[in-house]
Amino acid sequence: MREFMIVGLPNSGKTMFALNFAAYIGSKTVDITFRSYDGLMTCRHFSIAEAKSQLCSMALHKTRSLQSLILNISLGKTIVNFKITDSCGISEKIHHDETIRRGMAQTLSLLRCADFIFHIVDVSGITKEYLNNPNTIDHEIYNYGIVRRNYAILANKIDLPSAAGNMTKLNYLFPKANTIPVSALCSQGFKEVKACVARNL
Amino acid sequence: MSYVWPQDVFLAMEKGEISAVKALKSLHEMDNMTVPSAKVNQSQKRVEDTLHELDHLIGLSEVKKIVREIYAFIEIQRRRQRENLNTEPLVLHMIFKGNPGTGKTTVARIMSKFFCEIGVLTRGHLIEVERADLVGEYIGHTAQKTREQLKKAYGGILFIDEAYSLARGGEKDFGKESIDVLVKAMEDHKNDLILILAGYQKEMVSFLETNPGLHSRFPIHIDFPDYSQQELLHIAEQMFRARQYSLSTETQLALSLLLVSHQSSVCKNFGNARTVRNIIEKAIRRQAVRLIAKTSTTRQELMLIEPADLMEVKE
Repeated sequence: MREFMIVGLPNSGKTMFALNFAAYIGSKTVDITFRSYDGLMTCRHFSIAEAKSQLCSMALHKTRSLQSLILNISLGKTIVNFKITDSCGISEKIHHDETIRRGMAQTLSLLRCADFIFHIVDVSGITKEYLNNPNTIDHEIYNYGIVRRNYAILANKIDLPSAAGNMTKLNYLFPKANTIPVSALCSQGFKEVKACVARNL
Repeated sequence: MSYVWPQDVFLAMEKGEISAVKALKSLHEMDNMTVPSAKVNQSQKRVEDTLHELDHLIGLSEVKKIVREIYAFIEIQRRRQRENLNTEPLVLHMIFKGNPGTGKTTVARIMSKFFCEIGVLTRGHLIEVERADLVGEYIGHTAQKTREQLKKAYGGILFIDEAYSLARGGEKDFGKESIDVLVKAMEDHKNDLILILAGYQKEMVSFLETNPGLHSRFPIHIDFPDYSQQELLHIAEQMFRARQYSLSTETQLALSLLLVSHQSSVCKNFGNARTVRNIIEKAIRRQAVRLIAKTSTTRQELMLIEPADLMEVKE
């Protein structure tokens, strides 16, 4: 089974994207497998709404472990399963909380072996400093992912008014990547994401 | 500072020595260096993972050292072979000596995986046997039975637990016959089989003395020392964490006191990590009894082990 991994800064909408995307391709309930950094696995069954209320939050670092869900998509006459894994957000600074540091290390270790990387970038947060700083974590993920080829950028939060006009800046920043504008909250742009998943299965 | 293995990078990141940006940069360099041979990279990754699993075991520093030695030795032999230099044949039969519950079987399991990954063993499975699986009921039956077990183990590890019992029965015991078959097989199939004899320290020493040829046929002897009290405490904490329970500071104190009393009172039959596991399982049951009377419990309560739960675990 191919594993699609979601990475990005904290609060860029990774979990929301995973859950709404699951809903978009037709899952009403999801079985989420949590993998903590010390190898512990737990599985919980949620409806989409429950999962959203329990796993998504406005606070930073809500997700602290790897959360995988298995989804299926119909390709021609067959139904293909794939795994989509949500991860602990990676921030630039060294975090004071050890569990979060371990969560980030776990994210990076999975980044090395995932079959496909969805890199979520918050378009509404593109500022001048962000444009002029070549050392942001998004740049590093981009540099890492572009070599791997199995990599796409999801430009999230395009529904926000502050995101208007930022798509061109994003394309200018990350010229080599395949960039898909989406809104995880409003399920916009998921058709292209689904096509991208189907191409890479 | 530069790192050699990705695991080191992750560890440094967990400890808060480097930021995610730096970690990603060094990963980027590391992975780019090894990009041409993606397949090698994959197996290298798995070897690292197995070694990492071994490093996660608490204590056992000697064992870890020996495994790294073997790894380095095999790697260098392989490189020598590439340069058409003479290579030593790999004989990796081992003897594990140690008290009950010091991790002999656990280490053997990890080793079987490890040897498979680095290509020493073709299948890398572990067959665990004891005296009853090897020794037969009538004359001639033993050789047949032992050979059957050996056949199953080719390409992997044959792990004989309590191996000293093979030589315990005296002159007429069939165990001797079994040893003869094993000795023959370990010579004939030395490229294809790793034999591990495990047992308690004292018994194994006298077992090796009974048959003078045995000692020299096993080039690797590993002693599994008893765990120190600190290590036992670490093991207990790790076990609780793995079962998703948490300990308060008082509970930790109570636990260390309990372990001290165990170590001193039942010195001889102290089962090390296995006793710790039993203590933990009992404590978890006590906690369940304590909580069942309550009609509603919070997540916190379900996870917390209190000193009272440990106090009643006496034996």
